[in-house]
Amino acid sequence: MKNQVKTGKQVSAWIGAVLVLGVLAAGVFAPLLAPSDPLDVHMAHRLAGPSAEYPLGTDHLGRCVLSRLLYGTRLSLFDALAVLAAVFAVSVPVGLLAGYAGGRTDRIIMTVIDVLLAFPGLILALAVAAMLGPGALHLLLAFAAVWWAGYARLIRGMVLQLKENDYVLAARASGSSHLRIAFDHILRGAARPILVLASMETGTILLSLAGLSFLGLGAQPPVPEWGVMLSDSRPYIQTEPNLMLFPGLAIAVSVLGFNLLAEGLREPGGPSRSWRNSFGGAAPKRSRAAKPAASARIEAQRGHGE
Amino acid sequence: MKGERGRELLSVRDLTTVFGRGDSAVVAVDGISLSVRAGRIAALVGESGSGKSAAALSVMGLIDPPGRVEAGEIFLNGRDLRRRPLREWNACRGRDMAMIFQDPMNALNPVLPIGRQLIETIRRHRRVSGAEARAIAIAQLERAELHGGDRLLRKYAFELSGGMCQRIMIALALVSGAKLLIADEPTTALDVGVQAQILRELDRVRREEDVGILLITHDLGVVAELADEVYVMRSGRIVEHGEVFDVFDRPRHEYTRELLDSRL
Amino acid sequence: MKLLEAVDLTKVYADRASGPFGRSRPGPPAVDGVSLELRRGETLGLIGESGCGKSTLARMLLRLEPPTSGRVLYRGSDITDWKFGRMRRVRSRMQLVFQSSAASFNPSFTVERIVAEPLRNAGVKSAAERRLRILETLESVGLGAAYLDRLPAELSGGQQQRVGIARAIVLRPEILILDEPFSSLDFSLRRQAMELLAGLKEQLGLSYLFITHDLSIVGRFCDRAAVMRRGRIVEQRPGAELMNEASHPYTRMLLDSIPARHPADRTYRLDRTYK
Repeated sequence: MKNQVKTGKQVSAWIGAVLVLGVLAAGVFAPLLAPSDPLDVHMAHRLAGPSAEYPLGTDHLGRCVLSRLLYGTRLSLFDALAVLAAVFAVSVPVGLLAGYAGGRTDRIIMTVIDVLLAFPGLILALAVAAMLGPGALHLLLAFAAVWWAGYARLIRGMVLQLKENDYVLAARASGSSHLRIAFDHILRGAARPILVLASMETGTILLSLAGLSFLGLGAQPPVPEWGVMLSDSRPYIQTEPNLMLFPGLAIAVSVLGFNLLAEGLREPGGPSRSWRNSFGGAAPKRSRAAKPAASARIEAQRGHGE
Repeated sequence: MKGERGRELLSVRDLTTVFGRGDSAVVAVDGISLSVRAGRIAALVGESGSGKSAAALSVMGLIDPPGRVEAGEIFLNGRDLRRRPLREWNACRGRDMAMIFQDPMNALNPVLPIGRQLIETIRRHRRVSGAEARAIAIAQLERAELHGGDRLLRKYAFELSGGMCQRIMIALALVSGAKLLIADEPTTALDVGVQAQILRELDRVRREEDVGILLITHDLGVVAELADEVYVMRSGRIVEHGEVFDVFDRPRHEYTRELLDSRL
Repeated sequence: MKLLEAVDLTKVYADRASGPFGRSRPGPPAVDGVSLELRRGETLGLIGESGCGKSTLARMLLRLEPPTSGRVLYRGSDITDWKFGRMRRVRSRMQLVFQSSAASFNPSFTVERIVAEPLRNAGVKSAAERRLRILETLESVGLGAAYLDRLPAELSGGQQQRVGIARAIVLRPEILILDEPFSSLDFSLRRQAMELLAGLKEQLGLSYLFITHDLSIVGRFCDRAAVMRRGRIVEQRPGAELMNEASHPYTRMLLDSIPARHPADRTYRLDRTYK
C-alpha cells in the first residue's frame, strides 16, 4: 500500500512538473508561439469565434485571445515568481536569524511579524498598492512587503526544530562557526520544506495577483495579463463566456501544476532503499521497522474488541 | 485462575513474515516456531534487525502493509488465529493477549488521564459499570504496588516517571484479563534502577497472576534475570532454543556463544 | 596533571512550568556545585541515571552551555568566558562522542564531509590534506576508503559509531568526552567498541570522561568514577573500588540493579528455582 501511495506522489510530481514547465515554456516562447501581436486591435473582428487566424477567437477589441494568453504568462506567472523570490529573499534570512539567534533578537522580530500578521494580508497589500499607485511593479512590492511575515514565521519554526538536532550540537562541539551551522546544517535541512512551501505558494500568489489585477489594481490594460483579461471580459460573460473561460483555465492549470509539484516534492525517494536499510541490516536505528510498531502501540494496548 | 500454570497459551509454528514485494521483499521472520506457557517467561533474544519485533507484531496481528504474515500458524489458547475471521483476531488483542513497548511515555495517551485509559480499556472488554471499572483499575494498580488510588487515576502520563508509566502500561495490558503478555524491550529505555523495578513487576505478574510472557530483548542480563526458556533469533530464524540454564551453561550454536562472549 | 577541571559548577534553568502567562522562575539546579577534575591519561567515569545532570555537566565542560556559576579550567587556565575565536583552539583539544552517532550526523552529509567538519574548523584548507587525514583516521577506527562517500543511513550501527569516533579524534585531541557510547549499540558490538576506545586511548594518549548509567562496565573501563545524583556528586572513588566497597546507599542501589550475568545469580526473583 505504501508503494502505491509513493508512486502516486511521484506521478503527481511529474504531472505538476510537466504543467509548470509547459506554462513556463509558453511564456518564454510566447513570441514564437503567438499567432499575432497581443496588442493588435482589429475592431472589425471583435468577439470573433475560433478560426485559423485566431485559434481561440478574439476579445472585445478584436485582439487574439491565444496570443494574449501566451504573453500573459510572462506577466502573470513571472510576476508571481518575482514576488515569490522577493518574499523568500526577505523571509528566509529573517526566519533563520530569529530562530537561530533566539532570545531578544527573536522576540523583536516576532513582535514585528505578529503586528504585520494582525492585518488581513490582502487588504494590507491593497492599501500599500493604493498608496504607491496602480502598476505591476508597485503591486509586486506591496505583496512582498506584506507576504514575507507569514513565511518568516514558518521558517523560524522549522529552524527552531532543526536547531535541536544532535548534529547541530555536534557541529558546535567540533568548533563550527554559527554561520557555518546556519547554512550547512540548518538551511540545508530546511531546504526541502521551503521548496515545497514555495511551490505551493506560487499558486496562491498567482491567484491573488490575478485577483488584484481583476480589481484594476495591478497590471493595467491593455497589457495582456490574465487578471486583466478576466476583468476585460466581464461585461461579455452572458454572450461570450469563452472570453472568461480561457484566462480562468490558464490560471487554474498553473495553480494546479504548482500544487501538484509541491505535493510530489513533499516526500521524495523510492521505497526500495528505505526497506533495504531497515531489514538488510544496514541502518538499524531510525528504521522504518520501528514505525509500524509505534502506530501499533496504542492499538495493542487498547485492544480492538467490541 | 490457579492451576493453569504450564498450560500452553501461545504456540507459533513456522511463522513467516515478509515486508515489501517482488525484488525488494525482505523476509523478516523466516519460519519460526515458539511457545509460551502460563506462568512462564520465554525470552526471544536477538540483535536489532533480527526480526524479533516483527515476530511479536505478527503474533499480535499488527503487521501493517506492505508487510504481511505469509505463512504459519498462530495458536492462541488452542485456536489458530490466522484461520479465524480477522474480527476475532482483533477481539483477542487486549482481551487475551496484550503488548507493552520500549517507550512507555509514548504508548500512553498524553491528553487523557491514566484512569480514563484504564477504565475505558476495562469497559471495552467487560460488562461493568464505570464505578466497578474504577474499582478494578485501582485494585490492579494496588497489586502492582502503585498506590494512590483515585489520585493516581487523575494523573497524566507526563506527570509520571518512565518507570511508573511502564508499570501502568503493564497494569493496563493485564487489566482486562489478558493471560499472554508480549513485552518488546520493556526496560531498554529505562534507567538501571527502574529497570530492576520493571523486571520485578514482570516476575510478579507471571508468578502471582500466572501470566505467560514473551519477553523480547537484546539484553542477556535481562534474560539471565527473568527467563525460563530462551529462543535465540538471528536473521529471521531461531538458531537456538532451550531452558535458560542450559543456554547459558552449554550454548550449542556458535552465534549464541558469540553473544554470551560479547557481554562487557 | 589536571587537564580539565570543573570548579563549583552550577547550572540553573528557568522553570517554565508556571504556564504561558506566568513568570519564569529559576527551577531546581540541574548541576549543583560540582567540582571535578580529569587528569592526563585517565578514564574518569561519570555515573548517574537520566536527568541527574551528567550531560549538562559535560556540555558545560565543553563550553557548549554557559554555567550559571562556577569555572571551567583547561590545563589550569580559566576558559569559562573565552570568546569563540580563542575557544576554537581549545575545542580542537577536546571532543565529544555522542550516545547516538546516527543523530549526531547531518543526514545529508557523506562520511567524508562529516569527518572533515572539525578539520575545516581547525583551518585545514587543502582538500587533499583533509582527505589524507580523514583516510588515516578512518583506518584507525577500522573503516576503509570505501566509506568516504556513504551517507549515515547507509551505515550499520557499529559503523556509525566508528565514524562518530573518527570525527572526534581526527584533530588528535587530548580529551574525549564519551556520552553513553555503547548504549545505542547492539550487544555484540559493545565489546568491540570498548576495545576500540581502549586501543585508541593507548595509541593517541587520550584521556576520557566516560558518561554512563551502566555501572557494570565501570570496574574494568574506568580508573576513577564519580556517581552523580540530582546534580551533585555523591561518591567518587577509583573504579574497581567503587564496584566492591561503595559506601553511598545510592551507589549501592545502582550496583544492586545490575542484571545478573548468569541465571544462577538472579537477584530479584524470590523463588530462584521457580519452575
